[in-house]
Amino acid sequence: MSGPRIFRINGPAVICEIIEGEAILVNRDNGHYFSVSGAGVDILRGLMSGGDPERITADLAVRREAPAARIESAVRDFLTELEKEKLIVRADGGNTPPLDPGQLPKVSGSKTPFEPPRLQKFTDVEDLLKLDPIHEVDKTGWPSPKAPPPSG
Amino acid sequence: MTARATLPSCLTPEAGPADGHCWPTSEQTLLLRAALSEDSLAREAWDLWQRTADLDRIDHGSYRLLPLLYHRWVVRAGQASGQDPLLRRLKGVYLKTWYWNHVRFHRARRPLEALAAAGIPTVLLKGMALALTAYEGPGLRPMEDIDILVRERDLGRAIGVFRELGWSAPFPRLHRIAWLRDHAVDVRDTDGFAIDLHWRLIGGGPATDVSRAVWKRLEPLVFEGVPTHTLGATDQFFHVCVHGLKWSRIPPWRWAADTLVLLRHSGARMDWSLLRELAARHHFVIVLREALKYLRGVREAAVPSDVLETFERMPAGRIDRMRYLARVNPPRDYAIHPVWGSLPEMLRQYGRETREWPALERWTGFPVYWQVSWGADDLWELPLIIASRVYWRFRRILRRALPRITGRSSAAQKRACSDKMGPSGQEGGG
Repeated sequence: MSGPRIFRINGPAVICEIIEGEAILVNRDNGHYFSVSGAGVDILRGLMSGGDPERITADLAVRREAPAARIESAVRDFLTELEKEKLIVRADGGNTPPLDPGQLPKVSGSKTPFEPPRLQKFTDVEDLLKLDPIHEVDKTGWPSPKAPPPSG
Repeated sequence: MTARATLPSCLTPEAGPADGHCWPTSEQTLLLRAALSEDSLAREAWDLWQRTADLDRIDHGSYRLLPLLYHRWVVRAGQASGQDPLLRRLKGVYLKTWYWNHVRFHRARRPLEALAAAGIPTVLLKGMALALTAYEGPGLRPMEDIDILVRERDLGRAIGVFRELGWSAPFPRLHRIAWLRDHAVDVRDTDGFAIDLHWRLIGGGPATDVSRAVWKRLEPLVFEGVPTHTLGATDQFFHVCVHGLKWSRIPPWRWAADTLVLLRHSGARMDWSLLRELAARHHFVIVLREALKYLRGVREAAVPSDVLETFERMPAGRIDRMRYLARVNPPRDYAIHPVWGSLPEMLRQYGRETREWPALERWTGFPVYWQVSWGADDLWELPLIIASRVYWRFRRILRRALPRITGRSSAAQKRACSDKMGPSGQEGGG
């Protein structure tokens, strides 16, 4: 019996880095930039270390405070979104053996709140390059531009 | 997509120091220490910089160091940027650099692959080479373009490869005489993304000799599956210093960050005796000595004391002095040279490089060579340049003579004098 499919980052076109609890991705073929926050960072970290959706879901359920069904659906939807954006692809021969619950990490201490995965997409390369990361950004920083002052 | 980077308005030259310089200012040195010094000194510099930094007035050179600063203190030392507005902005500079470098490196992959397939060996130079090897990641080294070196004899074929890929690749300006002084052409894809295609490391005097020799000392690099090279550590150090250390209205002090990172990464592979040999052979003894002195002042461990002592004992001739003065002074101060500038050296160089040319072409070619060497667009500009040099020379002599006559010494003169000094305050002469 085959297990769940494995996904991988769609390299070499797509590069992913996790920095200060935020995952950033760039699709170098079209220049689109993505910022991932919430549980999306854990999901991407899990993918990059070779985890399959089932394992990633189980791992999140151990660490985060939320019903298992909600976590499972969030992971599934987020992977679908990443795949649609061509940021991940199904890995060749990517079936994994069914999950052995004993392999899940033991987490000490209380669970932390579950924040749904969030994917922000920036597609205008010219705007990205023009945007001054010091003066023209909002409080979340580059690449989110400062809101224009209200007119009138 | 449009792939040409546009600098934020705050980073245009108008925002930089008004008078220009060759060596980093004290604020820039503080930033360099915070990013690259030994731990205790770096911490002190970092704390001071955070208290005094004014990002609204930061110059272009300092801006380029912000990703490195962010990486050292937030990524490596674990100081979370959180809600700190200063750190958030540093993170933004890092993210933008990370993004754009990854995109541009990917753009360079196809031509590199095509050049390799055509049997044309390539060498990555400057920013891309340093970002991929010496720096800890592509997000740490902002750059304007990508520089690729091919052998001079492969240049025509390399340009053909770019054209086949749909890039616009103008043939070098003028004719082959201009090639002797020029060193790179700008090739662009349909989106305007630029690669500087070099057939020499640097323009001007020692270009050919330096460029030929480096091919024997290359280090192999596989870039995204494509075989290419970088310069050997010593050649890279020499290139970064010689190319980067020169006067500019915005102090171009990235060379200092690059060389410190290079020494931290490849210090063990540095061949200091080769560096001395390169400095002596190509008349960069004073330039390199002063650069090493500055680097040791920022990070003592970067340059062994015996290396510096050996450089201090090295004899430096007239050409070394001229090279140094031409780099630490603004262009109009070429008046410090005799009116004829480096004409004797130029003649010697031309004679050497055109040794195998037919006699007629050799003799008639020199004016064009002279024109390109002095940066003139046309031959008729040469007399104007000579007249301008006479004017500046005369003016300089007058400005020196007047205080002696009137018994006064102006602040401007003191400034002019300090411009000719190295960072250590010692006179640049040998």
